[in-house]
Amino acid sequence: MLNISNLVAGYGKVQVLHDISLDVPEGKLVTLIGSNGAGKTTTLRAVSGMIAPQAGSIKLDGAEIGGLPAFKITRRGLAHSPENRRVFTTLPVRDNLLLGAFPRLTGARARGDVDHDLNRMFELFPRLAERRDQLAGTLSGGEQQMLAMARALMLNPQVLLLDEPSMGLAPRLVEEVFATVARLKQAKVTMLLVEQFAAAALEVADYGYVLENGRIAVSGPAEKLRNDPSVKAAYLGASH
Amino acid sequence: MRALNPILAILAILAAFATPFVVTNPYYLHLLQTIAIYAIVVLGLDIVFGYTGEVSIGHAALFGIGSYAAAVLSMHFNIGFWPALVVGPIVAAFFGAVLALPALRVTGPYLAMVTLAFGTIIQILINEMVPLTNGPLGVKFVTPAFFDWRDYSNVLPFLDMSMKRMKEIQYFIVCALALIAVIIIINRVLASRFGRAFEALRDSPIACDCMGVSVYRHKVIAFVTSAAIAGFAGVLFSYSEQYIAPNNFSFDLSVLFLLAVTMGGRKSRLGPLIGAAIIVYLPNLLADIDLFRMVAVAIAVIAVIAGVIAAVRNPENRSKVILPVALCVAFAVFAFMLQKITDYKLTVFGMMILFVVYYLPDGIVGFLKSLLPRWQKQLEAKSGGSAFVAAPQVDAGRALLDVQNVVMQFGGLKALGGVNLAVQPGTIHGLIGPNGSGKSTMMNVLTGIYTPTAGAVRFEGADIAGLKSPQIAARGVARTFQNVQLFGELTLLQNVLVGLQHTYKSSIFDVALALPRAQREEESAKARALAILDFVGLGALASEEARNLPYGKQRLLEIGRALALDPKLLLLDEPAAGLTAPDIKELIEIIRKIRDHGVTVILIEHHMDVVMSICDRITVLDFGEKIAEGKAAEVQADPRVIEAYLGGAAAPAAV
Repeated sequence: MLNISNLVAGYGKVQVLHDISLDVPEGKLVTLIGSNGAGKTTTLRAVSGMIAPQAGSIKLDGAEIGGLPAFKITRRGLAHSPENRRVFTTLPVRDNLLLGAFPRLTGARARGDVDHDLNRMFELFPRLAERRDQLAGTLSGGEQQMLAMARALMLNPQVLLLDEPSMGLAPRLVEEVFATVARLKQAKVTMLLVEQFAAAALEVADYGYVLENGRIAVSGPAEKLRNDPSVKAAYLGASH
Repeated sequence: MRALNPILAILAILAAFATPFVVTNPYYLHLLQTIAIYAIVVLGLDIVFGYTGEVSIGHAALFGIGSYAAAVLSMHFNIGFWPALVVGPIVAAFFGAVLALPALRVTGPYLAMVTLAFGTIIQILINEMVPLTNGPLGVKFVTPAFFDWRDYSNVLPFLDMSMKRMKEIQYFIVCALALIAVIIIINRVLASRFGRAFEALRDSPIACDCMGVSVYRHKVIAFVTSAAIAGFAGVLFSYSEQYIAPNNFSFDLSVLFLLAVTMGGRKSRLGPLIGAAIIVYLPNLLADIDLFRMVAVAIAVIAVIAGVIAAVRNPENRSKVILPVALCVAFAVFAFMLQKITDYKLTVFGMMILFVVYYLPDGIVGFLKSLLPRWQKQLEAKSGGSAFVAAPQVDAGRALLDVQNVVMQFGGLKALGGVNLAVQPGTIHGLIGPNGSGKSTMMNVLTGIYTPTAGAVRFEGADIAGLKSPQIAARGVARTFQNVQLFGELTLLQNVLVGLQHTYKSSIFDVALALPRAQREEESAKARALAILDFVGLGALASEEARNLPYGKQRLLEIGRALALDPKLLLLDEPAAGLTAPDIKELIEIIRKIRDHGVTVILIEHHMDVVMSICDRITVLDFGEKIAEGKAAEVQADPRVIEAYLGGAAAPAAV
């Protein structure tokens, strides 16, 4: 569904990604792990058009999207739930969600039944249903994360990018986030997940890629990476 | 850089003396003189607009105040040029302070609005206050003498020869030297702690306040300095024109000044010079069709060359480059088609402005810089001294921080409902709880960002509730932020130097005069800053811009910056968020070392491995209430904590 080949990207004159190739098959959950500064977030930003790739190709469902502006990429069905949530703090929860469906309301994407999907989100995230009229800025960190994910899902995306959905959340909520990701996977949502909790990410994912200094160091089925001694030592750590 | 500066200054002074011999036409010499005077105003405006990011639409009025200060002195007191050169800036600075003190208390567009009103009022006042200003008739000046406190010739007759009036050429040299002096002074101020504070407060006001560097105070300093410089230029302008009237200082001129900064390029010395040249020269250029054609062709040629360079360097840019280059060429063709230019003056002017805004958002200098290869500044300072000053006295037994019954209410929402918290000196105290339980609110109360609705916050026995952030920081409470608040456009070294601001004693005048005291201070602060960077493991990256750092390293830099405050109490707000397992190990080591140096730490964190392994004591909050407190093992086993926070046995964090 999403094919990245030989991607080079960075900020200004600083090159962060050197020659990244990565595939996210339809209906699968792929996770991208690596240390801080390896280029995980940069990869997601390049894919969703937040920064322009300097070289390489990014294909969504066979069509090239590399270099397109972010809003056009979204219209083609790629949703990005960004690092630090970035919800629209001064709008109510419901409007945040409807904005996620904006390309559907304007006809750039198949409209479908927006109201039905809105209700589906409220089922998936009951906390958001309770707070549908509350301003997003007044939600707690965990609720904002749920909202960011739900907002991205409102696009009915072909691919969902999730950047550090567990960042800054209480342990109990981290569990909840991973449970949600697992549920989405069961619902056959195609996802590319960037996570600091590498072990938990590999637990839930189908495939994993390990980024090191802007290059893919190891990749393969998540199962295999979990048991790879070098990956274990470097990323799964002895955190507990 | 530093070795280059004196050479540049000497060259500039030589150029100032040489120019009258090259430009012999008095008209053009006067034009250059006007450019120099406007450049002084624009350079001063850049401090406010480019560095602190505030907009002033009243600089023409401040400029006018300087001019009229000279006029009043000359008309009513028979006091001439040289004393006016001192009085003008002082009067303008006074008006600047009157404007800035109320307007800069709040952030937002207030300064722009206030200065807009101010500009209009000043123009009207000058018009109306006829006895003082001679109203719309204007004021005439005679050329200044070399030395003209006129009565002195009686007291000191030997100075009589100095009574000679200056010739045009000599006055030009005076203006040129004044410009050079202003550039040197601005360079020094901006390279000092003041310049760093100006940039820091723009990047993150909240962090700036929490580093003990008052945002308000430094904004006022920037504006008043800028006003004084405008007043200085105003005096030069009076004697340059030898006749001033209220309409010399209209609203249009304020806009032109802003335009000059934007077109030339913000945050540079060269940019304002280019900008001033454009705003002075353009009206003349647009009066002479042959000259206009020549310049249009020159612009087209430069655009084509720059376009080819850009296209060769990066082929993907080709499509983006074509339009502006084509526009420049079309402009040159248009110049030859025009028969009479005067009719199109305003149109051409407007088109140029639009072009600059669209294609050169960083101004001409910014554009030229982007063509040149990036120039890595070499560090001059060497690491020295210790990251820590002598360990603070640990007075065991008495709590360093004692929070009693603190209530924090936002409208109907009670974020903290009477929390007690006692932190013993020399310990690491964990503060945990679900998202939204009030941990960050507590941090903000402790650092003065919020004033608690009720309750007391005692630090070293004194109540600090209600104090402002910079005051609390000065007492030795430093913090980091949950969503990293670095000064992105400053280097790592400069970020830490902002934290070290409290070690400086020199004033802005010491800095402007480059007194040895100020330089010594700067050197020792730099050495200290490098030592701190080494401590957090970032010494090798000292001259990198903070925004280019990966997330994890940004968090370490924040800790380093906080340490620069020599804190007794350090508040860390989720330092491990977004860090991977190996980075977290490094972080734990650093926090331990900080504690071992006698700094007390409060740690908010969701990574239980961090909290449980290093905290001496842990407080758990839920819904703004304390639900548990004790040692790690006690808290971990508490059923209420498990229920509210830790959740089921195997959190994914524990995998």
